Amino acid sequence: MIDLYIILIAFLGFILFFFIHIVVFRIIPKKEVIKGLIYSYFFATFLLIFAEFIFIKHLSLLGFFISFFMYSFFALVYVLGVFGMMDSSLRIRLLTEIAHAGKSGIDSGALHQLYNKEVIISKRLSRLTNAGVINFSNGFYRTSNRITYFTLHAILYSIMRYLFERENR
Amino acid sequence: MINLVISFIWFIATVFLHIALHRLLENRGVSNFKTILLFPLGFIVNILFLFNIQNTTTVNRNFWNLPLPINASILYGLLSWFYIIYFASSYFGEISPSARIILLLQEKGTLPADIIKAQFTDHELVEKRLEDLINGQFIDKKNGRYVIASKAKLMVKIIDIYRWMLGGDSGG
Repeated sequence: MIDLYIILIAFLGFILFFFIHIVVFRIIPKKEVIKGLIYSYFFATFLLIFAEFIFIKHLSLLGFFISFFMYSFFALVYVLGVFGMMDSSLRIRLLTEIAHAGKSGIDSGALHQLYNKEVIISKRLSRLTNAGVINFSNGFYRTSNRITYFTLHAILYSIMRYLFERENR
Repeated sequence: MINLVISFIWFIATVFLHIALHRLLENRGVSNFKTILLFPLGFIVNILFLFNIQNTTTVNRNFWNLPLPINASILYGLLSWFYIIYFASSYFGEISPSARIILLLQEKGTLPADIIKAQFTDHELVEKRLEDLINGQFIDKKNGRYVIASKAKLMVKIIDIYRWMLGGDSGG
């Protein structure tokens, strides 16, 4: 039974995080994505602690610790797997652009005018700069040492490339 | 707690098995994307094992023998899903432009915008993805125009609702 409580509390934490990040993202400026996620995570953690120790009281400290670990893991998987994908996936953006063009669709030229290398890379450079992942000075970009979900994604991809793309190394 | 440790070790073991199998098949020139099926198989074995050892756990519970088969199974499932996403992107050579920019700058140190942009082409960024969407039957190309396929309409509605909830950014 304790097993079920732990996962339910973890799931409750994730639900809190999900709804809080919706509210936070409607308040904060668009460029503050990382800050928004961090605020949401800690606010949901605070509410989870409050809910468990004041109202629910089913878990021991150890049980809550495991629950907190699982909740954090849910949040991480959501941010890297769903939020990140929805926020930056090119395929999803192309799909929605085509869908919004209606029944007549969109012609290849118009789509390329709307979405091309210049637009895509400029948007990403701006997003990475706003997130503090890269810095821009004197016309040059360089990486900062800040760890964000962008860098985590790049690190995980590098590991996979190292493991599976031997011919490219 | 030991259940979570077992799940994690079992996941790492599955990863090693997957890498070994992948390389073995690669050396023989066999298509090997289906090697990811090791993970659903590992998930089932993990569940069977965890729920079996729970029955033999002593009544005197402490930090280590607290039975957590549900949490441990979910942990294995999420780790596997996570691994499969990154394996698939590596297998198909699909690195996101943001990750590629970061790796490029880590390798080269400093670069101006035009050099960074020169590393990308419209073909890989747009056309290849449009081809994938056509192959996946999410869109059709009729008389030079891209049209949404009926099976993707619900998906786009869900995406639109999700983006609306987060404040309406178009993403991408």
